[in-house]
Amino acid sequence: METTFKQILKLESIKLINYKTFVILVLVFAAILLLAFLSLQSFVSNITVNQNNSNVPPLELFKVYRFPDIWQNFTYFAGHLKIFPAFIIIIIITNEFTFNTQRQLIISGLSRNKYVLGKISVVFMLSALITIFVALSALILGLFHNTGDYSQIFSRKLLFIPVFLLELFTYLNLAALFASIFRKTGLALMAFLLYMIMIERIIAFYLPEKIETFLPLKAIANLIPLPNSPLFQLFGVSFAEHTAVQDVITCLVYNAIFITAILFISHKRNL
Amino acid sequence: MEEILNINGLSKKYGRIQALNNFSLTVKRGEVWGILGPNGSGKTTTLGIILGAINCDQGNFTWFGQPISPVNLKRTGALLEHPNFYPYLSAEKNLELIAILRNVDSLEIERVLRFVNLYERRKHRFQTFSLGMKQRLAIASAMLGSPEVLILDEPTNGLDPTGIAEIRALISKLAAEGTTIILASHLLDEVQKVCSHAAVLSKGNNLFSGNVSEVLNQQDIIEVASENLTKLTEAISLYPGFSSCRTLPSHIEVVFTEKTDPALINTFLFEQGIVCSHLALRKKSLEKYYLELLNSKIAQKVK
Repeated sequence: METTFKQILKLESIKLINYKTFVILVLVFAAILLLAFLSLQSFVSNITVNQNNSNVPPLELFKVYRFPDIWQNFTYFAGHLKIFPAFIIIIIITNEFTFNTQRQLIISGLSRNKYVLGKISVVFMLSALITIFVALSALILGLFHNTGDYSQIFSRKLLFIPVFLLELFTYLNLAALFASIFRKTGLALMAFLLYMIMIERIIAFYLPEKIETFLPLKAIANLIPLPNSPLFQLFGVSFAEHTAVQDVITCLVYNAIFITAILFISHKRNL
Repeated sequence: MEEILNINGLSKKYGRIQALNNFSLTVKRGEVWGILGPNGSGKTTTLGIILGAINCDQGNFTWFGQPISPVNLKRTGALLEHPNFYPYLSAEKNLELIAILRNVDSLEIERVLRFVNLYERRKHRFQTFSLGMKQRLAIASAMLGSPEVLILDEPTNGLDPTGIAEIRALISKLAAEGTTIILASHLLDEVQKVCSHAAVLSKGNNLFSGNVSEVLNQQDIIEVASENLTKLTEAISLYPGFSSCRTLPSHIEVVFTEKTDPALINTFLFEQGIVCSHLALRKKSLEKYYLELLNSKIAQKVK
């Protein structure tokens, strides 16, 4: 009998729910996100106050919890912390190599395609879990600070929530690809960090600006533009208010590339 | 009889090392095959290939007459090299994963855990297990759902003498029930005791494959002792069919070119005026045959 998707999900959930390291890391990440969201206003206001000390005219306070901007503010800010779930994904995937359990599953009758499907499902579910957490935090904190106008909750900016899911999914798939290539937890983590901090930037340096935006991390970062704060407006800088279709397509293409590469590696490799 | 596994000209190179060279083998239902060979001779590579864990360079193989697929792998139970489980999961949870994957009833978990004497430790995490317990859990995992074929790579590795005896008894029992078994080992004694067939590998080359009892019945060794070993040697060399003789401190070992009856030898020696203090017929051991094979011309040519 062929292995069903339900069986695959059951296998992955047993592996993760009973893995204390995973559960603790997820809870820690949730706590970090929550603390960050709660302190976001005072953090942003501080910058504004410092600006007020110089001879600049007083600025309108940047209200981070205001609908509909909160959707963008929270997803943009949470996007800067996505390295944390990427570490979780790298640990989970490299564990299967370290414990040699991937081989055991495959010789027990799990196809390599379905093994990869299981891992991509984990990537998706972790992305979805974080997205739901961020969306709920935004909704609750937004309602808490709301001054009465509920119509602003459902705005075009609500689209930043699915876009955030795409951002996480693409980024975590890239991490999964690094884990599949390097296999050892430490090595994969280092390689991923190195790529993030240096390699892509070096590549970007030698590429024309038009092509540079198509690099994976660049495209992922471009999905949610920097929120326009009164400070930026003061300097006459204005960022895009919405996600560019081009970036969405680029990320979708990258997902296809990453998953194909993971499948390719999985088939080529001796276990 | 139905062909279970048919291996045809498998070859595999790791860099410049030829791990397996043109290996062929046919396993029929109910046979118990021992794959023998020193460390690094290609045993695990062979098993890894037929289980789909390692990609081969050349050759092909079929399971139950079909190319390898996850569906026919579910009809086989395998223990490949080391026991591989999630260290943070209990023995029970680890087996649950395999049971879900293979659509095996969860009641089976209790049965196999009891079988390998791990039922009391079922709630303990795999990482707390000793090597012998890990090995036993791996055997339990391979047995889940009573597969038609068992593939065991060094199953007695790390087990204590009691454990080794239990695993041997288990293999014999499963074989008697009709399970086809492929066993890789470098413990010849083990293969001799449980296998009906054997294949000998050296540096990836198949030196021999065939029936174990045929090999062992080819030549017999007679151990004889009497008061005077020199006189005994002289006398026995006159016996028809005498081939060679080796003098040991306590007795002599005689090899004959044809089958011999110890009773006739005894009578013969008595007629020569020699009284035997010890007379025994010994089957040639697989170990001896194996060592001869590895040192033989075929093996030399391979080198």
